[in-house]
Amino acid sequence: MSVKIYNRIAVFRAEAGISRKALADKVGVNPQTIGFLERGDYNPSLELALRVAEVFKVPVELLFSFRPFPSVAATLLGQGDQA
Amino acid sequence: MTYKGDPIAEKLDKVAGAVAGATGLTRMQRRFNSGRTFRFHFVPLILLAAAIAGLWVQIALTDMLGYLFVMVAWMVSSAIQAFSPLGNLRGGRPDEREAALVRSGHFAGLLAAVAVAVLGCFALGMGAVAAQFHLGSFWAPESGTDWFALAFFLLAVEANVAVLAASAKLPDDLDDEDE
Repeated sequence: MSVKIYNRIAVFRAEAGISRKALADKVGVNPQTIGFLERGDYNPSLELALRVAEVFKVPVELLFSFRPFPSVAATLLGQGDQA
Repeated sequence: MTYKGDPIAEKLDKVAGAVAGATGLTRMQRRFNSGRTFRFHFVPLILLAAAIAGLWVQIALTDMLGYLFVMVAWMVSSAIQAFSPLGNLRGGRPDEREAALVRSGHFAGLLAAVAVAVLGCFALGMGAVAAQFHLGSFWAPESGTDWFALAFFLLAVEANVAVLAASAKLPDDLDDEDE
């Protein structure tokens, strides 16, 4: 049984305004694979994880983690508290 | 998109569209275009049952008919593989997830085929020994069609177990969002 790897590809994809198909074409996989990745049904290889991170121009650890990512609302609220 | 121009052709086009929608053809067409494969659960089981029935006919009833039955079961099994997660409706090179699914599916299929072959050899061997001790008459492959039927049976086992294993491993369908 493999370890669950959390990701926030959907958040970055929404921010960049690109479809699953467009992202899939950029990293060279089936759009279904991007959907399964986003849903956490599939753990990517290191190569695929690095390719996806490269598309969004962020370090891979910003996209993938062993721990769940905080929600966007929680992140924004946290920043508001600090300001 | 419906045809525009001739009123009769327009009506026929609308009827064809309605029929395609009602029978699920439109949904299937969309699925083919998106390159998403189909999960099979019952068809491989039916084909396995057909292959077993064919082998039984070959052993117990008639020589040629059983062989043909098993061969047809294997041919249909091979055909549905193209639409299963083992196939590649999208075309081009399979990505890492698809390739892993194909590997694990065929691994399960080969394991099942090897297990059936080993158990079958033991059964035939025990039958031969029992026949030597005059404990009865047991079937053993003799004619060419017997051997071909056994070969196609093992191929059918491999193909159908592989499709079943790959279908079980494929996660639930995604919604149609931006595909």
